[in-house]
Amino acid sequence: MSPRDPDEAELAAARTSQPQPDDTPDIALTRRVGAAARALSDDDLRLDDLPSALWDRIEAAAGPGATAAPGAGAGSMAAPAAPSQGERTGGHAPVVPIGDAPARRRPGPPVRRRTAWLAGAVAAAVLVLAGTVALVSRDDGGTTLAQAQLEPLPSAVPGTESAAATVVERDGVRELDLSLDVPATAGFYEVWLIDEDIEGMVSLGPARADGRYQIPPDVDVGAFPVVDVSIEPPDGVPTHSGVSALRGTLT
Amino acid sequence: MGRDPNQTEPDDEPSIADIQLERAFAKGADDALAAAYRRYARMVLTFARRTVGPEAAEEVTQDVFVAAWRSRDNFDPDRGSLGGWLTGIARHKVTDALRRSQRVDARVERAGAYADRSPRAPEVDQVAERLLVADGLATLRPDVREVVEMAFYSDLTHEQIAEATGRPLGTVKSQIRRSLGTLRRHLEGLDVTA
Repeated sequence: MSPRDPDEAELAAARTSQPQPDDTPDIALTRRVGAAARALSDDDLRLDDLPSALWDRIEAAAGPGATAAPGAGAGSMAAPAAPSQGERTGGHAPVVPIGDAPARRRPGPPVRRRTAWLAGAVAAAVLVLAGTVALVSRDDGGTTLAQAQLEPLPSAVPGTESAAATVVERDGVRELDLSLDVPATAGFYEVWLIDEDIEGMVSLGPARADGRYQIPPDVDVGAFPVVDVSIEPPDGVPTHSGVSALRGTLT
Repeated sequence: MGRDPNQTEPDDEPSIADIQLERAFAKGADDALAAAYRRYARMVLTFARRTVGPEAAEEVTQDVFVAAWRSRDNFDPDRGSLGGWLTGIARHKVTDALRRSQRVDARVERAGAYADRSPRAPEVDQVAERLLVADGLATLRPDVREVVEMAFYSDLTHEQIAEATGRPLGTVKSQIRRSLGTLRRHLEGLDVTA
């Protein structure tokens, strides 16, 4: 990228908080904006509700000119209300900053891995779960045990499409059928089953072209009902990267 | 995430509403304080609660809006956003409240009780800036926000973002430029009262 292109310089500043001697005031501010954006946590997205008496006290103290209760109907100034939770999150789970992922740990036990930090992200994902359908059907010679609708998360690469996941038993072997329609990424996609407490997770392996992921026999799908598709950097670290593209819950 | 790459709606609709509010507030228009309260009180209250604690938060919020209305002549939309300016006033109120409580803490400490932990000034600044950036992001249209999040959280170039989103390069560039401008304006408003 050419440092002379102002758009490129601005984009670089949004990603690097380290000040440079030749920073313009705008670039310095952009660094602060980027630093704040990368430091955002769920707490920053959850705003307190207003006590109903607070406005009355302000109106009384502010005196003339401050009339008309907030939320007054016709005739009051059409001010934008503070974005609601739903708008605030754009209908998605709160931002899970990619740069904020905790240090990737060394290999843990082969199946269960503990990741408390995911709790918030997955709890938030409950917000985005689309309607799921529970039905048992015959399909491809197998029996459908559970289904989930996976929806893209904010950290997904744009263009990531929703996906349907199905747990199918064929000849006594359970498989997760999951056909992904996802854009290329710098790393690779990996499929996980995660428990509701977000205490443990089971990797079903990197994304496969045939869309079939064998579920280990001892894994109780009911105990790991959250289907998660992560974006993994090709760094050889076998734990969840913390960056999820899609998620949904089996029912 | 349905999106139409050919859509041509303006990408600054929410900020137009904010700008109208700012003008009305600066003029002292009827209802402008109520409108400002409706727009920003939750952020101010949250900022206060997270810095001075839940007990003092309501009083700080009340002080902020009353003080802001009385000094509305000092608010200049050309120097930053109303949200930033209100948060800057809140920062002053919070700092005052923390100083008072620290004096109380010192006395309590001498009396042998534990001192409450008060956030230090840098933390106050960080909470203020994060809440403002979160607010600014929340006002963006979802498809614009998606692009802006890639500006912050990925290392994709403009060209790669355009490719990934299927939008024209010029659209991606202008959406990022304008959104960063909106977010900077929030921090400028904060700095005015520093």
